[in-house]
Amino acid sequence: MQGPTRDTDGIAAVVLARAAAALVGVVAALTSAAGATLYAAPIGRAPFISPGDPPAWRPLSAAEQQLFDLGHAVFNTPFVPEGTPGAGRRSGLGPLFNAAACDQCHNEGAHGRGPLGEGPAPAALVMELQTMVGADRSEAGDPSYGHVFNTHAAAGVAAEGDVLIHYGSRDGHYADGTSWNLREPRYELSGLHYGLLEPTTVLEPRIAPTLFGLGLLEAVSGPERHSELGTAESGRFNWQGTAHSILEQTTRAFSREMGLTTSVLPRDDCTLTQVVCGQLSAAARVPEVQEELLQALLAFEHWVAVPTPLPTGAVAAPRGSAELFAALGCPACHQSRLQVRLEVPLRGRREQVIAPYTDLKLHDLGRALDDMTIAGRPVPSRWRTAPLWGLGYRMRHPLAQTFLHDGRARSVDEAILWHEGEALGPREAYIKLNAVERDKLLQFLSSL
Amino acid sequence: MGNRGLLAIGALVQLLGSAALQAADAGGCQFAWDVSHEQALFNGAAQTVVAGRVVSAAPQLEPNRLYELALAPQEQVTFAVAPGKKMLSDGAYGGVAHVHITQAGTYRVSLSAPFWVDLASGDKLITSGDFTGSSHCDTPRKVVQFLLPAGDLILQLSGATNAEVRVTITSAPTPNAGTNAGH
Repeated sequence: MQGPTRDTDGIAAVVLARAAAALVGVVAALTSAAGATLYAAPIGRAPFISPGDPPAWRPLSAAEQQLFDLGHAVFNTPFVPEGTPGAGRRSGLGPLFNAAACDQCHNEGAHGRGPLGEGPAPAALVMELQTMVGADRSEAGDPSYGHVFNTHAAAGVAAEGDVLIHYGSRDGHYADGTSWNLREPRYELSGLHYGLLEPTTVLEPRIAPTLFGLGLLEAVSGPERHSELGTAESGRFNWQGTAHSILEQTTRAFSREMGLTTSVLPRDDCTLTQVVCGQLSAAARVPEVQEELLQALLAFEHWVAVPTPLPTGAVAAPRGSAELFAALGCPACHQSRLQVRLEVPLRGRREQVIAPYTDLKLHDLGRALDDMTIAGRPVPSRWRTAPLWGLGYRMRHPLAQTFLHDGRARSVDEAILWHEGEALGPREAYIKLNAVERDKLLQFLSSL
Repeated sequence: MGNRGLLAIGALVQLLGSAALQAADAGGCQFAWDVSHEQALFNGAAQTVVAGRVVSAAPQLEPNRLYELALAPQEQVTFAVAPGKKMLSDGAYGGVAHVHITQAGTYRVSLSAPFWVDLASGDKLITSGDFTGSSHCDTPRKVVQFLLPAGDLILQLSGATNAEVRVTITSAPTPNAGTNAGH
């Protein structure tokens, strides 16, 4: 029996045509960009048989493995305030901080645990603060609260306050009539202990991102890559590419979110308003994180692999799902292949290929994702394309089911629906898919 | 009202004065689940017990009771299985205890301090299913959920710098144990 003609049949035809065109384009790009190199099997993935014992993306020597293990231990260790008896190398937390351990936000290297609902923000969601100078964000934090709003403090010091999340509702529906409901956050800083924030201070809610494969993103090749990234200010790390290296990001987080000084960033994030914080910080030893531990942590972050979707390995994507991903236009930003140059040869060569599904560039994703100033003014925001590798692992992880920079999306489907701006086309194409096609796309994403 | 309007109001409230907002300070005990049963236990009197440095000399803990465990420097403790979380042991305390579970199911271990908690069955660790915590609190501070088999298990505490910790083991009201969760 012939069934009724569906509106989406036409869309499917368009999808296939776009897929074919996209594949031709991809082949051309691969050929011209790097000859046969990009056809090599991508590196970086490994099964996480035990999440508490993540593997490296390349074989390590005994000395490297020892460094990796020490770095993993540093990553997991809760630091404690100066003066804690016997604390040794783990002393120096605070005076102001958000979390005592890296692992408290980056759960076993995975994406931070996002907000389940309204109320106090979870530890993994920090409120970064930046001051506007004219129409631009400056490097400066808020004059009274610094670069990060710290919700915890050592004994004798007042924490900066609390971050509360409230959600509004944004409704819509797919072309097939199925409705959706998105939660739209607004943020309240309460219990302010150091006066008011500047009206021009930008509130930047940021979930702790995944750490998997960072060393490979850092190894993405060459000066031509740098020019593609645009301005010299564009980094490869963080939600907005604000860090140029793992070292920069790590030492910044130590200083601003844990109150731990390092040889690279030998100061805490105390402001002139925070007198006790400044006094305690000045009296503390510098650096608080011993150099050996910092280097070990950097090694761990550099080498930790990207998990396959299952502990047993890869998951096959449904037939035609990769073509659907391409036809929607997703690879325009979520590029499947990038070339890296490793510090040591692997499989006999330094030049290798990774499949991170990012272009490492910044993009406008629409006004709905814009940050806001304290005074309520939206600030145009550009977002680094989030790498999609490891998404299959995340989608199967019981504790990390929120997405986007502030965890507002409760599913990958919702994350797609938040894409606007430069990604409006793919988002509109996604909305036109029927339920079967949408599921096929999500299955593809869960295979990454 | 859109996000921007609400945020503007939020900012306006902040600008009007932080004192009012401080009164609404939400820095109290906030957990992802209903932990009222555990909180009620933590508000009672605790039985002081010395935790074991070795399994053979470890005390027996009963579910639904509050204990205050006196711990030993971690380097003096021999665990049944290596703790599930690699950490620096500088200044850390630890200890072991026996727990008997009569009926398999989902249980919670609640702690007043941020110790890493493992439950071992023989020489195998049981993976925790979920956790919640409120770092402003100690009644409790941290609650970890496990799907447990019936039988004799070993509770292992490690990683934190407190020499004592209050602990309860309770049956969870609804199964919520997943897999492979850190805590």
